[in-house]
Amino acid sequence: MDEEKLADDAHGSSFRLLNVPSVDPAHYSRNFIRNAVCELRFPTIFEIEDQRPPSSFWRAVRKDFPMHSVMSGVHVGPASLAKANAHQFSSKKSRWVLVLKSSAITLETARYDSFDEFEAQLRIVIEAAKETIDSDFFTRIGLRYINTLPCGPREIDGWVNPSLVGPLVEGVYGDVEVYSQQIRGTTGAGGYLFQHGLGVEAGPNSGKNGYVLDYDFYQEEVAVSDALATVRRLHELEFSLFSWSLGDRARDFLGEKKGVHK
Amino acid sequence: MTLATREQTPLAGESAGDYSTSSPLSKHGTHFAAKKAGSQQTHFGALTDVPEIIMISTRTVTPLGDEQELSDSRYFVHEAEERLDEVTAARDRRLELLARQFVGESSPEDDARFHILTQRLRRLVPSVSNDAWQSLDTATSTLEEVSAHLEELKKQFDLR
Repeated sequence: MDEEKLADDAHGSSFRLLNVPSVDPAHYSRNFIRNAVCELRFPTIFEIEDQRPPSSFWRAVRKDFPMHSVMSGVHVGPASLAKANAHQFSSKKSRWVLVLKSSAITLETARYDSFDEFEAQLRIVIEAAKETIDSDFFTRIGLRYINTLPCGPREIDGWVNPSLVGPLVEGVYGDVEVYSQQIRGTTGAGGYLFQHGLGVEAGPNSGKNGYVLDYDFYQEEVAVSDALATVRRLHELEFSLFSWSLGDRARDFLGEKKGVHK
Repeated sequence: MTLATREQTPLAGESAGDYSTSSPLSKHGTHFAAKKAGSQQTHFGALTDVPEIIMISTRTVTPLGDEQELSDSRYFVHEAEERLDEVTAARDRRLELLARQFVGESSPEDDARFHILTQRLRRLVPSVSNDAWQSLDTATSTLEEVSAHLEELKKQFDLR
């Protein structure tokens, strides 16, 4: 562990921050990433819910996200029922999916290769957002990676940091259907939610789908001009926790480092 | 693992035409070409025939001072209409967000937009109007003039 990291809350009390060894991001030949998503939330714009997407946004992303469809949904609230449209834009082979909602833009891929590539797509999205969101800040930026380790319930030893799965590896709980933990904490750049476990996905084979490592790092109230730098920072923190979470077998699986970013 | 969406990054899912109202004939007659009823063209000022006036568009003629004023006032009317539209749109959206707050359904993004719209309305429809500012400005100037006059009187009668 690094030297203990502390911060002060609004009442002057100190609290501890995420404290895992800093690791320089690396690009491996393989990865466990099933979904990588970045969400940019902004002050609500009702017009986005129209059938046509905002023209400024559409112009800015059309070259890279040429396919557009309208997603119709119903928002059910305690005292209301409202129809809400969202706009989905996809790259030519649908590798990259961009969803524009009344208060958020989401970039997602299920075929992640490197952060450099992800960042390049995100740069296009942020440039488009500048012309659309009628605000100079994002209310929240979140970066989430959902990883699935290819190991069954009895093969976890070596794949995951023993600090996370000690009792499970030792058989204390026996063969379990569900083993999960949710950690919510603070970093030097906002907050995080780390969820990991077995059988955490819905479906009949949920426990056989591998061990899930789900990292969600975020920061609130970010100037649009600082958005990319913030995402980079979130990625660094996320990669450090990801590296700490792995066991030796998982590191072997990732293979050789190909470059600086993962 | 199910969490409130707030706490988690979710997966994806204007022709106006030519203006026919040009400068007054008596004042700027030289700006007009005139045509006899028929097809023979002559300059306006030939009083033997009543000509059919062909009005030259203000768009193709450099306007004189009072024409410019006409043009500007038209611009201001247009600008005021746009501003009114902006105020109406901001007010309607703000009310919508206020309703969401009332029923406890507003998100931090809704609240952020509510504050942005509130500030925008304060700018567009200030509670202290321009007329009020001008009245205060006039009163301030009057006070300054009176103060200066009093100072002169004090000097004149050695009242210091």
